[in-house]
Amino acid sequence: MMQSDARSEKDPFRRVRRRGCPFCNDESTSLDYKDPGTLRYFITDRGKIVPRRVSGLCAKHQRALTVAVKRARVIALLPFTTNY
Amino acid sequence: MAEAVKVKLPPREYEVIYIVRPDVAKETSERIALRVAEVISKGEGTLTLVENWGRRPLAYSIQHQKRGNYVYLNFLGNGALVAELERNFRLLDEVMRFQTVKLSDDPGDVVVDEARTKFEAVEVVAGEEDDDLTLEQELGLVANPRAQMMRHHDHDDDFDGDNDYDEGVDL
Repeated sequence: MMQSDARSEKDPFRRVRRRGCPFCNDESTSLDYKDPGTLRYFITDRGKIVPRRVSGLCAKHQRALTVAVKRARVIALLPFTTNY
Repeated sequence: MAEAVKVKLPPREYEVIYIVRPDVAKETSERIALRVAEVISKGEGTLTLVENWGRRPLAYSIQHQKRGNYVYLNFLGNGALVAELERNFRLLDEVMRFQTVKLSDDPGDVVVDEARTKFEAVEVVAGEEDDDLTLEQELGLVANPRAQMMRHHDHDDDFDGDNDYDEGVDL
């Protein structure tokens, strides 16, 4: 009991939160470049693609995400940047 | 001497999205639709689905336009047909942007619903609100109604090249 308290005091902000890839867990959802609503969840305020360590996606779906976001950008469904 | 055997490949399935300028007349978009359908039928392709997404805001301006009329098509064809279709899009000044994506190499039997391969006319909503800014507003000479909003959004403008992610992940 004491020990666990000491540990949490040492680094109170460290939280390990492991969740599975949302697209592996749910087969019904998929990454589609025509669906900017879902993709928006995986880009930053400035329009960058979020890295795997933040998005929590598996390698396969992170690759699919990258392709989808890039396609969506070409057809103006997502911004390349929000600098203007 | 082995002769090259020409194998008849099954048609591939493609989808294409093209964006027409929002300021074109109804007749012009009909003319474009007619031409697209003609190119596909001439190239021995089959149009399988047409969807008109209507007037949508663009994520960034293209040719100084902030909106565009999106048209989405599915068709069966080969690579030569895609090249010909894209050549035609480039010739049409009203088409601002297009993108073709291959869906599958062998789609098998595709059921074509005739009713869903019709190009519907773009319904132009009369009196649609337009938030396009005047030149003075863009340059900031007069109050820009969007400036407030934009300032609000700017969290990460330190240009230091880092990611600015605030996460507690073990590395």
